[in-house]
Parts: sequence; structure tokens; C-alpha cells
Amino acid sequence: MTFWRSSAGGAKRRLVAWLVVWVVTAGLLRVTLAAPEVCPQYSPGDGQAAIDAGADWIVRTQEPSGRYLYEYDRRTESAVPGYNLVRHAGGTMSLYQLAIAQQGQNHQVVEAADRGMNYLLERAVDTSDGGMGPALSSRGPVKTGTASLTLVSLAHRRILTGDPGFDDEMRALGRFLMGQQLPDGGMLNFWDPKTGAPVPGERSRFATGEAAWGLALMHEAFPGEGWDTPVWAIMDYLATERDELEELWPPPWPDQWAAYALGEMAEWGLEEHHLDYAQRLAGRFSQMIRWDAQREGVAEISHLPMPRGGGYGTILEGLGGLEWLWLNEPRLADAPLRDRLECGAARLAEAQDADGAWYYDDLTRVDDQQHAVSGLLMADVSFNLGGNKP
Amino acid sequence: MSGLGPVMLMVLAAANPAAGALSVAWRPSNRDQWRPRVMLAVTAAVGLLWLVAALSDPILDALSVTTGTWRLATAVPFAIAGVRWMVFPARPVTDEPRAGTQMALIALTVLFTPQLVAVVLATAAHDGTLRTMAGVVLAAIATAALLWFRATPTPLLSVVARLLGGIAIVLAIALGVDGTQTI
Repeated sequence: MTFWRSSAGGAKRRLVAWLVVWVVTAGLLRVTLAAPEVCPQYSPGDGQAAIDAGADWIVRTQEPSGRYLYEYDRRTESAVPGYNLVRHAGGTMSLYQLAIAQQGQNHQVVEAADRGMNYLLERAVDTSDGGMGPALSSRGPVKTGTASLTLVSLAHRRILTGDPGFDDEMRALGRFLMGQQLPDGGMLNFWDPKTGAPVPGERSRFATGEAAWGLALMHEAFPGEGWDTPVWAIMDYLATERDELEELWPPPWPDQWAAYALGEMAEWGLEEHHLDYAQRLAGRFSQMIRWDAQREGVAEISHLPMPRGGGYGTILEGLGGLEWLWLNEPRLADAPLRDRLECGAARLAEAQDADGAWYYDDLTRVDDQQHAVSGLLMADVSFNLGGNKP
Repeated sequence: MSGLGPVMLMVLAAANPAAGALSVAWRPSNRDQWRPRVMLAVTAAVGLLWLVAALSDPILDALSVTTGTWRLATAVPFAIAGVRWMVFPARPVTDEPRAGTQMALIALTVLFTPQLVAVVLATAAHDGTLRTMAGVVLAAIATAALLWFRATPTPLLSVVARLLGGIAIVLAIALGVDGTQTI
């Protein structure tokens, strides 16, 4: 205070201080929050090579049993032990998505997806009330996420082939999911074969959105059977309660499964709170793309490393699902979702390794390829279809 | 944060006319020359801020920054200014400088501040130039009036400066949150 009050040169010093504050503020912002967003050029179809290479990694490393190479370390050139059946179901789902986009022309992809599906169905156990769900071991629990993504995969297979051969399995999976639903619309994560009942009190941030998508596809495949009722309950829960109840911060939790479900529900007559949730989700995904796009040059010092391929892919999946909703829902104001999709797709495609995988610390997991392929696919499908759902 | 009122309040808080009036604390030796200088300086600042608002889209494009990202970034200098005003509402220059320096002090250090320019860019790109300029004009008139009449007691100015500082902090947080939710 004395500095400013006493000096005869106070005015000049104030001007110099003003200049210094300007330079420091601008400089600091430029390498942190206001760093340039770098988005490589991207046009429709540009992601096709990356999609094909990523899918090829999943297909060529798959065992004849249908089991995928779960995790691979390129430093040791060896597989890392362990397996996750939810991610197996997700990988299968992704291959069927690609098969639909290719209209079944790539037989290797279709056959690999079918092998992956057989692996799941061979492990399906009967659950309560005529339901069923795949489990990694006969004594292990059935996870809601595995059943949901198996259902999504079968729904996609039905769209691809028109074959009703697995309709009974789809209904059994749907019944299992309804048995896992809580009164508030959320989903329990496990069903325990020892007790023959859902495991109480254990939710999952993933399972609820996965179930919403699976059941939404059930309603699309079998309208009039009431499969939409649990979906509405889930969507109400996700839109209004989930983040607070499950202590997910900052809200909304970037749930690409919910975004897929919202895209599927675009013609169902969503209510305002669902659309508000969709807008908040789109904002969250977009902010993640924008932040990642700033990770260039000096700004790398203030930005964490790029997420693994799986994590980044989920952002594109979410935006792609919401893009369909935007293009089919006139109540949603124009928004630059496509710009974000282009930016994210370009950056994700650039991060792919020559062998088709997305590595993080020299490790890659099947879901890195799964989410990246699905994300790039969602971006490309949204470009190519112009919002017209297949 | 897109109505006229909220935008004007945000710009007013970023300008903080009370803190500006406190910082120009010398007693003008010539009242007849003082008032035209104030008018000229404030008008020049408004002109510069109008340029920033009118060119907000090309400026952000040139910076390769989207509106949401800029709103998030703006929250930081805006909040820091708010904290500074809460803690030190008055940083007065008490000795009367030369005429040119007087006008530079008013136009630049009072009105063309980093936080106000950042907020003007953020609101103009998001809410439009007209709404933003309504806030700029309001802030400029308030600043000019306080400097012109020099009738407001310093303790009252200090309270108002602190109050606007508190509002700036709240609005900065809201702006930052909005930036993270912008598509």
C-alpha cells in the first residue's frame, strides 16, 4: 500500500504493473486453461483405416474358443494374465457394431463376433425368474454389465442378420436385468449363484447405463412387450439422482452407455429432464475433447497424458450416441457436437500404433481397441448417416 | 448466464467501478480539465472494449480456443481479481500525474484490465456483442460518474468495491462451471 501511496512515480509504476499483470496473466493462461486446441484435419471416412486396424487386432488375436487376447505387453511381447467377461462382452458388441456398419461384408468380423458370442452363451447360467446371465466361472457371480452387453450384442446381431434364433436368450437376459433393478431405477451389480439372488447394496457406475442400452434395444426389437418400462426408470435415475447418490463428481459422470441409450430413445418422446441430462452429458464429453486437444507443445506441462484408447474411445461413443439424439430431437438447440467428434476422432486415430492397438505405458487391453473402434465408428456413422438411424 | 441482466452484472463486477475510483485518488488541480480527461479516457476504453467484443469470434478463432474453453479460462483471472478486491479494495495513486498519464491510468489500469477484457471476450462470444456492450457502458458510466463527481465517501466506495469483489468470485465460479459444461 505504501508503495502506491507515497511515490511520486506511483502512476508510472502502476502502468508498468498493469503491463506486467497483462503479460503474466496472458502467458499463464496460454500454457494452461487457454492453450490452443489442436484438432487435426478430419473428414468423413478418415477413421476407416483406424477402425479396420483396431478391429483386426481384436480378430487376429482371438482364440478359436472365442476368447480375446485380454491384455498385451509390447515390452515383453507377451500376454498379461487375467480376464474380464464384461470387457469380453464389450469387445463382441463392438465387432457387431462394425459388422452392421459394414453390412456384414467383412466375414472375418462377423465370424469373430459370433465366436465371441458363443463364448458368452456357453457360460450363461440360469438366474432367478427365468433370467440368465454369463459368468466367468460356474461359481462366480453374474455381473449385470456382462448380461447387458451380451444383450446389446445379440440385439445388434439380430439387426445384422434378421435371425430370430436367439430371441429366447435375449428375453432371458432382459428378465435377468429387470430382476437386478432397484426401486429407484438403478441397477445392482451382481447376482450371486450361491444365494440365487442379487447381491444387495452393490451398484456400479457402469452397469446402470449398460442395462439401459440393452433394454432400450430390447424395446426396439420387441415393441409392446414392456421392455421400455425399466428403461424409463433407469433414465429418470440417471438424469436426476445417480451422481449424488453414487457420489460421482463432478456431475454428470461421463456415461457413454447412457448416451447410447439416449440415442436409442430419440424417438420415444423424452421428457425435459432427460434432454437436460443429455445436454449436460454432451457438455461433459465436449469439455474432455477440448481439454485433450490442448495437450500440445508447452501446454503439455499442464495437461495430464492422453487417456488410454479405451477411455478416449468412450468419449467419442458418448458424443456419437448423443449426436443421433441431437439430429432426431428438434427440442435440442444446435450445438457443435460434430466439431468435437471430428476433433476427437482425428486425435484418437493419430494415437493408434502401427499394429492397430492403442497403447498406454506399453500395455494395451482388448477394451482399448473395443472403445476406440466403437468411438471412431460412432463418429463416422454420424457423419455418413446425417442423423438417420439405421 | 445468457440474459441481459446477468451479462451486465458480470461485466460490471469485472470492471468494479468502485475499486477503479479508489485507485485514482489524487486531487485534480484543475477541475475544468479533469472532467474532459475522464470522459476521453473512459470513451477510449469503451472503444477498445467494443473492438474486443465485436471481434470476439475472430479473436478466439485466432487463439484456436473455443468459447467454452475461454469461459473456463476467464474464471481464473476473474476470481483472482475478486479476491484481490475483497482483501485490498483500494490501491490508490495519490500524486497527480501529468495529463496524458492520468488518461492512460484511467483508460488502461482502471478499465482495460485483463479480467475485464477476458470477461468481455467470454460474454460477447457466448451472449452477443450488444448485451456485453450494455454491461460495458453501464460500468463505464458508473466509473466516469464516480471519478467526475468525486463525492462518494471512501469508506462507502471501499465497501462497494469489496461487495463487487465477492460477486466477482461467485460469478467467476459460475462462469468456470459453465465453461466445463459448454459443448
